Amino acid sequence: MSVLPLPGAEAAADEVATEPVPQARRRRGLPGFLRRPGGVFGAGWLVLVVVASLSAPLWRPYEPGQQDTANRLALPSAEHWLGTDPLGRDLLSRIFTAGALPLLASALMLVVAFGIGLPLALVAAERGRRVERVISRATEVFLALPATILLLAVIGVIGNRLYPVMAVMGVLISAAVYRVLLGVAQSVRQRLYVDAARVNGLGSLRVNLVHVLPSMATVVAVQAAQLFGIGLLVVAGLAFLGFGPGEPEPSWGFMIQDASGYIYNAPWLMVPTGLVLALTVVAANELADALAGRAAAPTVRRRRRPLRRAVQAVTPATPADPEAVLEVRDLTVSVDDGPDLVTGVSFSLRQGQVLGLVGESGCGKTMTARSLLGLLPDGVAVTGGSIRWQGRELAGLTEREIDRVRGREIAMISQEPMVALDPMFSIATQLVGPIRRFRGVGRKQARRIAAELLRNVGIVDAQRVLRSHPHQLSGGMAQRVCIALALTGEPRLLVADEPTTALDVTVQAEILSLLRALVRDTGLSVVLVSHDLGVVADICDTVAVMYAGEVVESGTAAAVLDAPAHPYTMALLGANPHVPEGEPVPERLASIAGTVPPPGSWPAGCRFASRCRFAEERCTAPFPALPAHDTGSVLCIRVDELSREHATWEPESAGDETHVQPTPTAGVPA
Amino acid sequence: MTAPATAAPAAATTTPALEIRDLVVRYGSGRRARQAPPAIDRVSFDIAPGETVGLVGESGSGKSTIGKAVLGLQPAAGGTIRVNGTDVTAMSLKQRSRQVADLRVVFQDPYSSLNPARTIGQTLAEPLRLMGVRGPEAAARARSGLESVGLPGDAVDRYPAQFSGGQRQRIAIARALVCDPRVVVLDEPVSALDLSTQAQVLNLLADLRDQHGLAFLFIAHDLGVVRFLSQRTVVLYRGQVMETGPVEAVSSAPRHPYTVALTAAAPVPRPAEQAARRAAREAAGFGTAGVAQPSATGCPFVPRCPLATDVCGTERPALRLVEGTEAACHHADRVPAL
Repeated sequence: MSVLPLPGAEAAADEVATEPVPQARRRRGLPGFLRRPGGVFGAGWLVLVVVASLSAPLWRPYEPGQQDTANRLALPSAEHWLGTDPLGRDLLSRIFTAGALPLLASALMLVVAFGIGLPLALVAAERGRRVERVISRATEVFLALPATILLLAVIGVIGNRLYPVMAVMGVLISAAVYRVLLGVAQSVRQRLYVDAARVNGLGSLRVNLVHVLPSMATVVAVQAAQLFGIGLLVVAGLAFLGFGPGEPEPSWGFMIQDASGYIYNAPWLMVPTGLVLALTVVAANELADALAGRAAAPTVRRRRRPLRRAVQAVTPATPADPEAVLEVRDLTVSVDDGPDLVTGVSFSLRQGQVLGLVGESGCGKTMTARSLLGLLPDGVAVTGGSIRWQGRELAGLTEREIDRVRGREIAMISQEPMVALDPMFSIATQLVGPIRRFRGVGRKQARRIAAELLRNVGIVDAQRVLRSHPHQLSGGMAQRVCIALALTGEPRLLVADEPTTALDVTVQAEILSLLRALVRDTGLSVVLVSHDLGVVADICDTVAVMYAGEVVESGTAAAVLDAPAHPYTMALLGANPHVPEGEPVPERLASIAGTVPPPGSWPAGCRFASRCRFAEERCTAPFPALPAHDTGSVLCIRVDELSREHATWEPESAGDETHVQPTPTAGVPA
Repeated sequence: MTAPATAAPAAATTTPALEIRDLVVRYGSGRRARQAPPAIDRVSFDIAPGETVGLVGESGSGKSTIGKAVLGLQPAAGGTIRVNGTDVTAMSLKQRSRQVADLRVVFQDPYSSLNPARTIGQTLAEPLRLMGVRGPEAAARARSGLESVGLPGDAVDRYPAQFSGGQRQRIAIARALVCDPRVVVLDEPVSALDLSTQAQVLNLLADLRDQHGLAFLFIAHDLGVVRFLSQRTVVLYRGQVMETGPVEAVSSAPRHPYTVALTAAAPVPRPAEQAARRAAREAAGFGTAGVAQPSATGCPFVPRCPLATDVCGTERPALRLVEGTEAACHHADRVPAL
């Protein structure tokens, strides 16, 4: 039975499931690569060189062949800004007159290379393995050809004509372009929106144009910018060898070759041409880097913020448990110069007990768990409260101090066992290292211990698993290995962050049984992070329900799950589709309108109020946590009323999910 | 609403919205692939109009592969797939959408299922354009499609990055429904969502199904979720149907040891009940997943099955009717109660 909602809550219930939809944002402003200095330089210089070269006939101060015999090999002056060559010709005019050819020839090479490589990559990615194999073998032939010799042979046949030669170069390079783009095209094609478009019946060409190509644009641009630089070097190199426009026509390569003859008498002659060529190639590469987003990111200064608040000056809702091995009080975790991610979290854990931290994503469960090991991400730190582990304060320890605790006293297992294991090394190698470090034993002894640890986590053929690499293990087996890895330092506390979320239910049940056996047999204490209330019911002794960075309800698992006091816990349980045995499946599930507010936009009072059906005026003002469930607490000012009224979080009536605006028919079951 | 779970589909009076007969799917090509056990091995089931059939199993059981074969994203090596009576098994994706524009899909991952470079309006208009609906009419239908999934119509001008996971999944549902399909393949549509959002999307799917008489092929790994949305369920293991029948019968009185193992392993959020379930599961003595390869001729579940006898290793059991559900087990009569 449910309580009649209050006027304020009714609107929230009517607005079922419609979270605030973000306002349309104009997609304006600079593209990403122009926000990096390398990208600005690269794009700017290339535009400058291209414009100056193509327009050189319009502005050059001298004709490229015009000789000023009085000023031969001159240094920069008012008449000749960049100096003159051995025949007294103006360098500035010659450099930019010569520029058009390498730029255009390089561009032609790009057009040919991508004109062949890109369609082949798209076709190979689309048509599957057989077609891909044929094309790939064919391109391997091209990759095996010696490009330089081939180019010289082509020049031998067709003569000293740069554009056809560079077109041939483009054909040769297309094989490399195809190789890179094939991988990208294949990965883009695996995205589900491509499948969705195909199911909609979109033709092959349009799937490629609309869905595949735009996602490849960055890689194409990066490749093009890099190859453009290479093309310039090839053109210059050919001219240097004498395969360019002959004298008196200027060319970069020949001018450099010419200058190399005067390197002792007139070293300046090398500088302007060399610099323009080098800068242009560097600009192309810088642009490529900026497009790829690889430009050196500004280094983040890592510093530890001192604890903001006094440690023991808090009066928690629950008295300190004298038997607790882990006592967390008023823990605050914040982003450096940013919002708090976790505030005022308190819980305690006895030896041989399992505490569950539950809640939706974005509620601070993982941050809380990681702060126990000092494993917070860069720029995030514990800024208040205390973490007492066996009487020792862990909050505020230096990296070196916490290192002595981490792995030895407190260990961690994570959600993705495959990510936690190094694919390069065998299981034996990965176990023996930490065992030797933590236990100070020899290699042989460590291997024996490793086998024993694997047997302890329920692996029967330990010797075979020791010899395997991670990819040879199933997900459940890999998680067992991770647990064994966590046990190498004989920890007394295990922090398990969603240890079974990536596993099948049957494997999950086995891993939970294993954890339970470890707790029972070795007196290990466990902090388990989970979003699954079933997992919590299965293994946890106590539970702390987190919402928007704080604990909203805590107590023994039986008390909290069987008789939830906080509306958020009620709602989570109502949303769970696993009905008790013998009961009919509900027509609808209870849901919570909206989403968890992000850190930094938490209201002053109850953070759940805006989504709560039972919220009223006074919920918006701050209030303390109240004792509940004997040893636990609840953070709801209306808890007594709600329990008197036997409030439950009921599902909305049918049809409400599709209502945008509150409508008269959108009733709430009485 | 619920179609009878009979072995003889000819007895059904209406044409099934989706009919799958002896479907075989193989991955790879060449001789080695032909010799390997197929990913999907002779799977048959029907979905009546307006009905939801849940496809459950562990990872690697082939449930998503069946969805892909139905959509035409994975070719079938044998068997037939009919949509509203039309055989689509050999049709290309383009032919399918032209001749039977009744089949759509909602994928699991709400992040990769929407093209980040296209507005919601463009995404919704794409299937309409292919059906010849363009211009203002397409725009109007895109807006009403969004409103039908509980999003404001003016969201058409925004990009996917501006929406949360639950909202994106609503958009994906709107895209599937915008051209009034009869059959929708739901490939784990709520697995990536948080509990409260999952409940919103499940309620929405149930509402839309009842409003439009949609037939759902609902692929999921969570029996509880399947039980909420489906009328019938098909339990898969290594590409074979282990058990099929009305969802209530399959989940409360399963007749196949594998279904028992799956059901017993799903934890419930009630500590006392969960403790009893755990004790019952541990007493049943199911083998660990993935320890040994099953023989090619017998039942695939033999290495993990506490009831297995010699006959199970040599002879593949056929589906047979046992107390309201069909189970492919030689020992279905002595499968312990949950």
